[in-house]
Amino acid sequence: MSLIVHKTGILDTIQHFGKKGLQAKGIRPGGVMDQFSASIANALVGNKLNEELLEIHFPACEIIFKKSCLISLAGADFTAKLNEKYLPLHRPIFIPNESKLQFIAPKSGKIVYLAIQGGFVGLGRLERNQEIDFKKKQFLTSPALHVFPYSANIKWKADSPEIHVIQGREWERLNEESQRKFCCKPIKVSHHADRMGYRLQHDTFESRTHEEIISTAVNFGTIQLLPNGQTIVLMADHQTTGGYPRIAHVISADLPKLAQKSPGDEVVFHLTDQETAEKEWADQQNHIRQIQNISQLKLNEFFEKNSRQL
Amino acid sequence: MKSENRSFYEIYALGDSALTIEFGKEINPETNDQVIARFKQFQENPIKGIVDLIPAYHSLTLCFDLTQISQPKFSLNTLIEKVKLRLEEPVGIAQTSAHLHEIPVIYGGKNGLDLPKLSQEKGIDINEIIRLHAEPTYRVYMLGFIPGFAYLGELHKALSMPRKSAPQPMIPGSIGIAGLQTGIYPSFSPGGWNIIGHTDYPLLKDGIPILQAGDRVKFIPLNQL
Repeated sequence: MSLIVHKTGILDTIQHFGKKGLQAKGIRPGGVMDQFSASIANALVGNKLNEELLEIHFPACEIIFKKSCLISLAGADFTAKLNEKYLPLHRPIFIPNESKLQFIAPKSGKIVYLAIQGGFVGLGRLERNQEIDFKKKQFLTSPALHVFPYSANIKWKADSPEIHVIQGREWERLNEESQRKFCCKPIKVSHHADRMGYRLQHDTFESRTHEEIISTAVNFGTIQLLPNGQTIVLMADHQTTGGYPRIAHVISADLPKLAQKSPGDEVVFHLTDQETAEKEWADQQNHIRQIQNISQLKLNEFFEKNSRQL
Repeated sequence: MKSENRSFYEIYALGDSALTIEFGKEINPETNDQVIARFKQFQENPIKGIVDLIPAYHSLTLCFDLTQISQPKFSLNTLIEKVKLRLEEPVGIAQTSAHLHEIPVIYGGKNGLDLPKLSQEKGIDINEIIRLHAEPTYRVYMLGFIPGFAYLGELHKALSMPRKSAPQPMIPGSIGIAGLQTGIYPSFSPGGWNIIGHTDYPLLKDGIPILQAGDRVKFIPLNQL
């Protein structure tokens, strides 16, 4: 046993990066809500970018590490504490064995990722007293807490409210006034926000028609217009098909930003096009790969230097 | 097998990483035949970059890997051209070769609580309802909602009922009706359909659904009431 779940939080899971290929059978791909932060967490400990890792919402779980290991935290700042010492985000950290990790209070963001070098065994929701193993023997162990002296240089602000969307098939159903209200005006994320979808809070949107839609596919980021004039953005655990009008779709590159919004936070939607969506995505992926390359170099350097001492 | 040379279709973007091909404007067997045939075509001979396929009543959605699409030599337009070429190829429309599931049903009772209400509201004798429900060979138009939930059509018009106003807890094997559809809940879930019977027929194997889009279903009544 490598770690034990001392206390469960509201929603903590070992997540993959979405299992594709089964939607024809009604099986959603699922996976991490914020692919950007999850990839960064993996990069920092030298994992492949899509290694399975812990996705933690607030109130968060408490974990006791039974074995020493190399971890990283990325995404939301929940004031992580290891045996009374604060742990920073976006750095590799050596955890000594028999230490307790807690998350005290949410300071920013909605979801934090915890990656462990080599990854976890198992998937799914954490249970109280659950024992979890690491996939691989840790390269190097440390008798004391050691926070690496560098952090990932993240050039991307999760706290910006700007979210870019592409028009959906039923965009024209919104009357002009509602289209104007949807675009470029702040809209709040409501308290109904979970892994399936984030409901938004705004003035009622008016539809030009209430003609029924034949059920068809929806996607992560699809914004549906509900019969009551409110909207919902479908998130990682969305159903595969739906019958509500799809007024817009959040671009892939902005999904991590949206995933990190808490109830009450504001978003501002802007219409964009496929070309921009592709460019934003490519830029984001390049940024992740840069961080991955630098992390790998620094980790190698560190291991070479310390292989004898530690 | 009959051969169709061309499909009528319209392609639209479902966000930045999926395309939906719509083969018609309504729910009917002919349009769904196109969907299933094209689904099988893309499944058997995958196009690079496409990572998931979602067949529905009148549409087929292709999900792609945006990383592969946002390359200088491989844009979305390249992919659309490939898809269109593929849609020019003739496909066989499977009609008699579709897999038939014979599903035994116990109608009414504690696992079919809405049957008496249906009989009352429609003014149809319960045994006549059973006969009308078990008479057709249904088509699995699509799977969705939850893993393995099969939308079956078309239900006899006399049995058409709206969904309940609030969802209720369902047990696996519950057979429900809504509008001109009937379906089977494969697992515990909330649901809004009126429940008229129950089956022990295995619907999931190791979590993977048994029924597939395009399959046929025939209900075999095990009881009279």
